Amino acid sequence: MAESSIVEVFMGEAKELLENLESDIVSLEENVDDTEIINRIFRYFHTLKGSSGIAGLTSIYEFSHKLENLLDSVRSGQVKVDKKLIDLVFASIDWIKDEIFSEDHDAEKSGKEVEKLLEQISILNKAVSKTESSAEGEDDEEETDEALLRTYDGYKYFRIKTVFREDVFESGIDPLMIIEDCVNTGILVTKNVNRKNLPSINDIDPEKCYLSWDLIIKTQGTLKDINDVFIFVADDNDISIEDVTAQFISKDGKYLQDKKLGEIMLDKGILTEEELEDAIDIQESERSKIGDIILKKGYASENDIREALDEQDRLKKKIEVSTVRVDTGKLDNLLNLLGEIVIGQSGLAQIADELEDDNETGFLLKNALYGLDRITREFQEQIMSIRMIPIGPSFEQFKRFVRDSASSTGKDIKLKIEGGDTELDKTVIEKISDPLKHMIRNSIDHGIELSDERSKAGKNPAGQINLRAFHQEGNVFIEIVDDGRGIDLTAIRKKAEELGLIKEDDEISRDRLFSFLFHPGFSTAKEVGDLSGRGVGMDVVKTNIEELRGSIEIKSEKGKGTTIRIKLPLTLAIIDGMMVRIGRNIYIIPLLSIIESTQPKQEDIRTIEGKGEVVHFRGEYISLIRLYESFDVQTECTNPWESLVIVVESGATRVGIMVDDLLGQQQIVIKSLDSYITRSRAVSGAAIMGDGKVALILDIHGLIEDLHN
Amino acid sequence: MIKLTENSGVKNIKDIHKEIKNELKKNEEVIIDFSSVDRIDLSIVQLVISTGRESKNSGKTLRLKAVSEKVKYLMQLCGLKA
Repeated sequence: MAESSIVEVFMGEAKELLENLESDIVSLEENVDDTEIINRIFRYFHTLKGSSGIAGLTSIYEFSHKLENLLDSVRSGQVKVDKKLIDLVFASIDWIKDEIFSEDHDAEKSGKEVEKLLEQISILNKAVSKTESSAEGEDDEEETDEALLRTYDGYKYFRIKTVFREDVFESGIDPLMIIEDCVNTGILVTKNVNRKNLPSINDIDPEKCYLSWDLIIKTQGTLKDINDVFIFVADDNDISIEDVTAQFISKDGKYLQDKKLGEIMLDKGILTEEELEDAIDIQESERSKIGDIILKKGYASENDIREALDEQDRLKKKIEVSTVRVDTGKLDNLLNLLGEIVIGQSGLAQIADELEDDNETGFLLKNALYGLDRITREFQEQIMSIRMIPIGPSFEQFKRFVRDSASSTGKDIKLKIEGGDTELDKTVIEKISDPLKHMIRNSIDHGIELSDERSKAGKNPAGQINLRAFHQEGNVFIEIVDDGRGIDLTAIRKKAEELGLIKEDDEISRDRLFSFLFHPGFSTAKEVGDLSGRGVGMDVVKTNIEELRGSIEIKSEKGKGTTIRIKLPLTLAIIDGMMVRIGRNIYIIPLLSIIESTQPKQEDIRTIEGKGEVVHFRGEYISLIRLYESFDVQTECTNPWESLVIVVESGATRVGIMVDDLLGQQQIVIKSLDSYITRSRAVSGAAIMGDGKVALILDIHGLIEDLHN
Repeated sequence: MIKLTENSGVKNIKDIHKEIKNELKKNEEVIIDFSSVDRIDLSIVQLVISTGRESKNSGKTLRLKAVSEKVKYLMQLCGLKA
């Protein structure tokens, strides 16, 4: 692996770790005695330290090491969790983030900052009186971590398993001396000694060998160097030596085998080897769970077992996560190739359809194609499922944002997350993050009141923002719900009138009034704050969401709070589309945007000054778009009353699109178009149809924007 | 108390084994003195582990006296805690 890719892998992992850290630190502030959270935070810093070491980022490695020590003191109860500590850890995370991700990194400034942080960490650490036991444990760990730093300087990892013959002493060989020589070839990373076969003092034959070893050694030596250690015993004894370096490098510098609960407890110093052996013996005879046995025998507390189980889960998850780290570009390619298969398949289906019904070959071909179609659909679902990831981690990052923003506005606000396991296309999740942040910022700045104001209104002094996600009808919904003061409709109306969007005597529905909030430059805030109120943002939020083929709506009740609901497609790669014909061309309209289709009467069509051609639809006049004119297409249907009108919607705006015919709906694999092919905002991509022809996919949001312009 | 000598190892392990068994029978506390020992072989460590188990099971105590750093390290390689 090239060094640059090691750093890239590290950056990806660090991003995840830092997000988890921020979320857990906010949780810790709310639950200062929660040992599980403290342990998790400690482990995150430990992993960050190890990974940064492997990536060769020494400054982060050393800094994380100090933080890890501090967290260890927190873990052992020697340092209290208070605001000072939380602020220090957050500031430290900010420094690490800056070191890793900042594009305009200022080394001098960063150096001064880290000095200050280290001083504060050192003050807290100095306050801790070091116990003998922790000092001993740290020495061991230090050795491993120092070793990790040099992984890419020619070190290799070897796994050595040795089972000596019982009569090995008779050859004048001391197995312990061989093990010692083996360990001396490098640094001992892990060691498992099997002492299960050792008999009791009354049954033992002291001249026989009963112990066996399973070691991992990190060394700059070669396989031959290790083999040489065992040269005199290799033939008669069971010795295996395996180069496991690749496993170490790919697993972030740790040997992530499926560790058993007992081994984890042994590593953590909770159990002694004697106790573990005893528990395993009982397990073999009683066939009960090792955790229950350990608890029953009083070797460890319930809490210790829970911690070890967490560690086991974490290791397993780490393996799972590392196995799904795939470049999304490769998945996109896979999906594109599948799209090609579907196209080829449609072509074949067309040929099969053209064959006579009584033609046996045609019959067999159709049958074979049905089977192929089923497999292709399943294939497609599988690829799509790989792209889906839970939205939880993306939500979790807002915990710190809410904490910091609430603190800077002097408000007390809690963020509650629901539905974090809701899965969504990775690209959608990445693109939704900024709009969500903006809306949460609005809730903090304008929605939630100060504690005094809330108390006076009979509300809980602490405000709450709920961020929730759920699946419904093949879409994903995300809601931002606050229990703040709600949106003042009168203020919106006044502002809309000032901007000339409506007239004083216009009758406007609540929904339409709320929709003005998405108008560029629209803000009812009296003061412009650091966070929001500048009138920019909500229009961008809406545009971003619509670019994701989603929609947004606002519900609000004065004094009670506001709910912003975002509706998103599950994926960006495939859409349900309605195929329509205009002249000899086929276009695809996303089903999500379609309200209904209608055949207007001649009297339903009018031209209104300032609005252009409109069609009467369910009590209102909506703009009519003659698509054949927009795309300069020849058609015989130029009268709207002889054509079909598809009513589509983007935000609160509805328009009618004139088409010759509806051809039916179909799942469409979207092919993106390069900007040199079309600059029209009305087209979002293309699809290849079964007969090989290309159909353009309409971008309703862009189409309406073009109409307004 | 069982005092190991610098020659203690697999060659005289049977004698040491016998001694330990006797001590375990007679005393509540078994002490093995390592003060004359610079290093040990596996046969000694195996006996120490086995004696430790027996002591624990019978409610007795095993004490290792004057264990050098080197011997401690060798015991650790066999999975014993320092």
